[in-house]
Amino acid sequence: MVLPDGLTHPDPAVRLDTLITFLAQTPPEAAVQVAALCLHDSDPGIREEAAHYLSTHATPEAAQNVAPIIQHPELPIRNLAGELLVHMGRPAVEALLPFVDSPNADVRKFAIDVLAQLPAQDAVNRIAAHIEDPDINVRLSVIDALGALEAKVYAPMLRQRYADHPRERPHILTALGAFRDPRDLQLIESALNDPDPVVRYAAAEALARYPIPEVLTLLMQQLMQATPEARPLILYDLIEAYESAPAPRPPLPETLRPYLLEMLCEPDLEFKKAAIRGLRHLLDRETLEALLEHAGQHDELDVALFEAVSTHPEAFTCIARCAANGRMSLNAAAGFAIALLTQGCIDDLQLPQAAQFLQAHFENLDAETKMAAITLALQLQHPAFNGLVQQGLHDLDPTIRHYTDDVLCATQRK
Amino acid sequence: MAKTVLVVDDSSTARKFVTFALRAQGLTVLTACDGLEALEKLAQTPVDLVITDLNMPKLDGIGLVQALRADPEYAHIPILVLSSLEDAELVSQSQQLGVQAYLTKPFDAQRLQYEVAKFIS
Amino acid sequence: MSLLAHLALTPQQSAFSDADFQQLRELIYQTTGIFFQENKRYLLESRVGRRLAELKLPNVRAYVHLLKNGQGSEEFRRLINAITINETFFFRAPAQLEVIANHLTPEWLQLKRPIRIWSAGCSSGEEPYTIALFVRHNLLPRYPYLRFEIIGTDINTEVLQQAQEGLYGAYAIRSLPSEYLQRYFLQEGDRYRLKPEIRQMVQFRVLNLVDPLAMQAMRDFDLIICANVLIYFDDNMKRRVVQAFYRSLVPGGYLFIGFSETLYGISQAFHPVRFGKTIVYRKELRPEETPGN
Repeated sequence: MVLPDGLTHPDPAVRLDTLITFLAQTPPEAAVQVAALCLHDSDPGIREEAAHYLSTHATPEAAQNVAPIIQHPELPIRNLAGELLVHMGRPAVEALLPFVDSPNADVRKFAIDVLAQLPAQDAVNRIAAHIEDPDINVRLSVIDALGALEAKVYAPMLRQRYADHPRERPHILTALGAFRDPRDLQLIESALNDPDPVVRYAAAEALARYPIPEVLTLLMQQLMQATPEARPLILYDLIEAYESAPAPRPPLPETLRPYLLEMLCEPDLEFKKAAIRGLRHLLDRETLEALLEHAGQHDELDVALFEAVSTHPEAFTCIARCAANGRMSLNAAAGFAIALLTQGCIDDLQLPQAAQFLQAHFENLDAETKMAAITLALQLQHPAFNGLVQQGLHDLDPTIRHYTDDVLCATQRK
Repeated sequence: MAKTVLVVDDSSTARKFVTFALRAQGLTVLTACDGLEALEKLAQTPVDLVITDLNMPKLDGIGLVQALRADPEYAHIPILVLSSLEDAELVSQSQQLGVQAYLTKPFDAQRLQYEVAKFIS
Repeated sequence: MSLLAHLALTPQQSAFSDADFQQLRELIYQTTGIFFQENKRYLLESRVGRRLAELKLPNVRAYVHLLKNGQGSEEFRRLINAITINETFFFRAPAQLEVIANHLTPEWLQLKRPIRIWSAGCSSGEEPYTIALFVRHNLLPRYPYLRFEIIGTDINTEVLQQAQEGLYGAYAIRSLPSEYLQRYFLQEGDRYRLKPEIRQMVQFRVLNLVDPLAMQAMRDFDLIICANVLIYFDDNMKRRVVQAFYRSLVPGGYLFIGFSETLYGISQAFHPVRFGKTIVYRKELRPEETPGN
């Protein structure tokens, strides 16, 4: 294949310009080969341009050109090819299958890992055929893939391997957790007391996927035995299990409250969110305020916090109090108050107080919050908010003044 | 406050299992699914040790180690590589970049805890 | 998405039908890259609604028709002006200035040519003028032979006009250190006019970030600042704009985006470089330019 001259130019800027022009002007059948070659380029901008083109022209031919690159000697290029194949979806499956049988164990593993992510449900049997692969990492990838692809038909096979393959045990437990077959419960429960912590926690996690009441008791036992740093792992599983348990649910034990409050201070966002979900079921005034202290740090967290506190009758009172004593930033407090008002969580008695709160702090809020407050005020059409609208009309920020004016006009036109 | 380890791996089972072993050991664990995410998380939270895989999209393990060693604030954080790749060249490259240890997958919980304990008191 | 963005905040009785909103939203997206999420619908409706009343048009369809045909470009310009929100003020991002002073300037001193800086989505000019003020006040006294070319671009012609005039109110200067205000501004009533010596340091141009030809003409920049602009685009448009930025930078050039923004999932062509808690992005140096080569 003859490459356009510019693509071999020493200056990467010239190569990139040439590639972009070439891809825009060439029909895909011819372009995909060139794009695949450019995945090898030393310049990351060119590699990215080529990868984007291939992901948006994900034909079987394109996939056939990309798949062999998972064998490339350079790490970044192999990984780019793998990532690209995941984006390409279905066409990548056919292209990858031959590499599952590659003489190179790293290539076999990589191919299986990518197939699991696609997800390539119809490659399950080809993958499972490697369960006795001479390379342990390939075998582990096979087990992970079977779990990811929810290949329940292989549950008995994995169950049988458990006793004789200790290094595979955590992976087998995770896969069984994905299958949720009642016949695997006994094995999982027995693994809860394994001396290896990785096996124990894999078992706890697998157990939490089963929707039965005894799960909660077993997990509580695990919780009591865990080190303080390992507790969030069990709590996470416990909350997941609790929330997917069918009604009627018993109340969440009080003993969990201090552990959940502790988990709230974890740096990991997923653990923080789980703690919030747990504390939602144990909500009293003190816990509410402890939760509100974490507002304003992260968007996802704010949404989780709001969901947890919004139905509590004292939510607004606590927000106002936290804002007053500095436990919550004014902007976050106003945002939550606006959210409560929007969702109809503030009753008529408290509505004037909420309006007063927003008015008092209006000039210290950021633009997005101010505009939300104005929009809300005009949505509710309640006299308690007239003062707020006036503030919007006279705000120092011209953007806010114009916005208030626009929305007022729109409201008055109806 | 417990010491914190950042575990970087694109495989969710790998991240999970290393996390289990380390938390059982009394460490707090943050995770990232590739080198780029690792750098973003590091900018927000200081850590005492990094354990990284090599094969990852967006920014692979070698790229991550290079970025860490080039940054004055991270240059002294101990790094353990934990990879299924047994490539002699990668091992040598890691050593030259100042990685503390190169461990091969699958890891043994006790061995990992032992290696980690060497760099975190 | 923030908590506020999740709320179904619209003034009562949405003025436009869903079809109207979709049509407008699509037209704006294709032309400017700005994507109006459902939760910002009220903003679009209030602005367009006002315009409909002013033009005495019966409905949105008539308005879209106007936008698309011969006379449309003037009205389109006006519409864009009305819907692009620009919250900006002087010295909004002091961390950026610190990075420029402590980390970029030492590199720039080696280059021995004018340093080209582009403020993309500069609105009424506070961002590029802040750079100019900082350069004039801190860098040039120490390094008099440094030269800078600062360019500010925006799609909104009205705010660019304001930028050219350099006249600002109390809100824009609220974070400006007083020595800057005293030395580089002249008071005119309750407003402040930037002195010509600073105004001359920045060139302003109209530019649509998703116009490929216009973007291709922006070349050889050492620093591109695009803060709180990409948030208005969807991932697809963000990717296109960032790819264009890559081409617009010299090897080793830097891209600064907003403090809470990230290129993760948008581009992996840049190297992330950390300064404090901020991550900036750098285009790879050419191999022969790497130190030690």
